[in-house]
Amino acid sequence: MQELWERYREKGVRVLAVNAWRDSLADCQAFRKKHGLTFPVLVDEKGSVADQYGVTFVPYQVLIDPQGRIQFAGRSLEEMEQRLKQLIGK
Amino acid sequence: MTTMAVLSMLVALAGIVAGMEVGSERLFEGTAQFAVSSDTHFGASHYMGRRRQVQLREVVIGRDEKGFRLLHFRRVQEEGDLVRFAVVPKEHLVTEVSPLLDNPIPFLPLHLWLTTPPLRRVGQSWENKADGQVWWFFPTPLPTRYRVVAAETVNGRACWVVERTLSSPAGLMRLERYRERWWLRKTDGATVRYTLDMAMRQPLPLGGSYSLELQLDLRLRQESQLAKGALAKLQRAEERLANWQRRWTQAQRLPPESDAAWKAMEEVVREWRARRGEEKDEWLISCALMPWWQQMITARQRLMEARTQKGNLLPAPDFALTDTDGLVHRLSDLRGNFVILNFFGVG
Repeated sequence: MQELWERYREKGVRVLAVNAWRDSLADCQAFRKKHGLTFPVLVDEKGSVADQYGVTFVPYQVLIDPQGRIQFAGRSLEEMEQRLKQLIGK
Repeated sequence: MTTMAVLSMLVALAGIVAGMEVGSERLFEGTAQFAVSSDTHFGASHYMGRRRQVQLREVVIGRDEKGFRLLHFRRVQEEGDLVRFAVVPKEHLVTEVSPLLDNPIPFLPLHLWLTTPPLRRVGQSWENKADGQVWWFFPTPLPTRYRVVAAETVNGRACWVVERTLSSPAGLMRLERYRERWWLRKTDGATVRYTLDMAMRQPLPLGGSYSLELQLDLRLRQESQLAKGALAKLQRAEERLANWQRRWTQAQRLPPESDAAWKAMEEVVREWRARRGEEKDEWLISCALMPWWQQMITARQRLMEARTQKGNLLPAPDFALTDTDGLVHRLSDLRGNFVILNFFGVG
């Protein structure tokens, strides 16, 4: 994810990591440090965003376009990147 | 809960063979035969193969550096050969089980038989206390108390009569689903009696991951905890559930993948979420609602994925969350940019 972000940040792509397992702030901080993530890691102790997006497993990716529409939802980072490339290329 | 409880008992009983308190480091010492099988591997190398008969000398619980509980079976025949049996770490489970999402709960079908009758004495009691969230959408269970009230023969099989104190009358609902498996004998809303085959030969489909986590925290305790007012709460919860289910069924009748279907689902999910917070102490109620909740979430997920594939795009629900540095991020503020949400779990 970190690599993907570094490839696309110049193109105005924003990445938010959202916790889906109601982990604590400390756990999320540790997670961010461990993976050296430089994009925001959001803490969601109620798991409400994961519910909103119907996330039943992790990792799970959701790609939202500039118009706020869900362009991709699934587990595969590669598929999401393909979709993103397609959309940016347009 | 019941299947978990059964495995709890299995391990509890294993501990009793050596007359030890369960919950201590060493669960079992002595010689007994176990058959451990895991029908599905999910790529988990630390799961043992199919129905292997293992002569065990001891069973030891350990914890790895991440706090996952590990069971070590030391085999009798091969001195020094330590078979490592790990409780699958959460992230592993989730990654490997996701192709099975059509099943509401990703079970690892794991069976465990104890072929040497353990010697739990009549009158002994023990408690299954599980703490911590074992699966990310499972609430925290209260302790359950078991007591062996008699030993007798049923259909030629040596059995115990085990009495279980229910943490809340809601537990009954779940027990009754497993009537046959549990040989349920008597219930009065507060306790339940059932007959248990001493040899424990009946195969028990168990949720390998979390039931193992649950059962390892067995502790002998005197007190039982009967939640007060639980019955009234349960009734209310059932009414609500019926209402949601009705609306959910209606939503399912709407044209599939339509905006109306999505909205109707959204409404039920929102209400459910609001309710869940209020009832988080009543874990049994939440447990009772859980399978349906998962169906619901999975249905929504499928709908979302189907629509993105067909280009019939859904608006992304807005949210505001705080990041690890305390900054608030609101999705709607990022309009005009491509945004990737990367859902993760620490485990």
